[in-house]
Amino acid sequence: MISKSIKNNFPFFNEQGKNIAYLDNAASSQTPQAVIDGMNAYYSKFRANIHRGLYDASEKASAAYEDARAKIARFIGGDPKEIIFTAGATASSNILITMLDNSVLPNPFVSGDEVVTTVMEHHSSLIPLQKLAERKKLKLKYLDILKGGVSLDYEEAEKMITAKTKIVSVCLASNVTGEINDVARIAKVAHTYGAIVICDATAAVGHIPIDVKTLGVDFLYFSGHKICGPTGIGILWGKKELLNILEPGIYGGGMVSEISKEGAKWKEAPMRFEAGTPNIAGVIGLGDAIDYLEAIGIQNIRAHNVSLIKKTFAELEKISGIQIVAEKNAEKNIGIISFLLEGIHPHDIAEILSKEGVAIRAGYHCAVPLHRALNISGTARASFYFYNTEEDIDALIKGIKIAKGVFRK
Amino acid sequence: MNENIYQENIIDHNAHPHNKRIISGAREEAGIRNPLCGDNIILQICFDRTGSVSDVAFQGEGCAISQAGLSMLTDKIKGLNLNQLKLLSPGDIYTMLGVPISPSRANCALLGYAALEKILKNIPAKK
Ligand SMILES: Cc1ncc(COP(=O)(O)O)c(C=O)c1O
Repeated sequence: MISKSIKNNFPFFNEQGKNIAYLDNAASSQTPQAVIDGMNAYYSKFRANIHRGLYDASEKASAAYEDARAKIARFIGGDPKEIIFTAGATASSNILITMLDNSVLPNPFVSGDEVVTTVMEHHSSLIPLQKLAERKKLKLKYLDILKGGVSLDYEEAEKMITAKTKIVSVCLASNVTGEINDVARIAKVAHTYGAIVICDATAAVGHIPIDVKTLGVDFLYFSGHKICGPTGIGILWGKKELLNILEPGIYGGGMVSEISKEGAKWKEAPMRFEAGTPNIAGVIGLGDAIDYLEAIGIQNIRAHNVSLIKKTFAELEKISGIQIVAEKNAEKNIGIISFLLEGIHPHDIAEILSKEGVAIRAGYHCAVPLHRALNISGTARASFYFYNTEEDIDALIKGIKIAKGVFRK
Repeated sequence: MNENIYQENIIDHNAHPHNKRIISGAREEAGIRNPLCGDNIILQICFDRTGSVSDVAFQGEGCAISQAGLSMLTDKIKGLNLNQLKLLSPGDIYTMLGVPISPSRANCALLGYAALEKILKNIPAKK
């Protein structure tokens, strides 16, 4: 287990008290001092625009920005030229779909072609696909979960993906059930038909090691704020061969190699996709967050989370009237457990827990289709990261018992 | 003030909500979704010839605050006429609930009130 003293790295815990059980990490993680310092250094010591000025501050800012790109590339097994900075996972998903929509693909979309996604996608991954399907007259197909479980139906995937499939989009982990998906298995099938494979890694990154080559996907994205980075920053990774044939998703300064009254030509990736002044401090902060996580070790973070998940499953199971919306296998869980209590609305659970110093989330978690597939309305969700402790779990369990007491009638 | 919003009356209304049923063929009804959690409720009202509420009911699941709010609101508006309905304000709902409602729970507390407003808005258009 990671030492409890890790909380000292986070000003949030000094402010809110070390005993707050912050179990809403799937919504956003906390920020270590190192990340705040990195961003402050930019604003206070070398603030300037990047890739433009010929003076010291601008060169420093540009170097810090590109240094972060290299770190992130290494972190997911990609090449720096394959990392596009965005405003977060939502922006990545939207920009990617616009890029594909704007481009003449080697294997172009034809009316009646199919897009395959899953019922467990976050709305930010799903809605851009729905709109693309609408515009290009594609058929959007949903891979379901197994009856009575939360795991994807992989055998069905193998039937659903065909020569008609142009895009397959699947998240690496569900932000509701915590289920880690076998993306590599799905990508392999998709590639036998030449489909483009997109992976939303937002709930998984920073929790398990990620290697884009092992996953075998074409595009992958995530937000920085769920892995100790700042808000408003994220990345889109894409295979070089694909990026260099794609049209930009947004247009503006810093992306053109040539421009005239008649039109413009683009720089190579990734610059062609980063029009405008980016979130420079955000990029630097995300780079520092990755340094911070790597210093702890992703394997250590994973081991810590697995032990917390095991304990949480064991404790929750002892509570009568609870329904755990997850596969009770810690090895397949990213660190997210959603649950229902008989006769108590998730919202009321969250409110009572908050009075007990336990921060969880209640609702649909931007994944309504999954809740429909599970035939439930909202859930209460506890989500863990490496600074959580066994005491946090004790506080969660105690809070749930208090909620049950309040509603005992 | 007592910080605890889960007072006996809230818990009671939640466990045994008043007027939670379906009125078949109600003329006036409105569905509304709680933007916070996505829960859906439907409020139905029947008016008699004099323009007063002769029957009222609601359906749909939700948190204890929204269920108690609906239960109390539906009790309160029975027999009121249109003008009296229009004079109701969010403050009346908070008073009925009688517990401190934080800004984050205002949507829950006022879910029934919002449905009532929707119904009232539609009425002059019809007449
Ligand atoms: C799986 C998943 N995808 C995408 C997102 C969207 O991330 P953001 O709101 O940072 O754009 C989230 C965050 O809630 C998520 O959990």
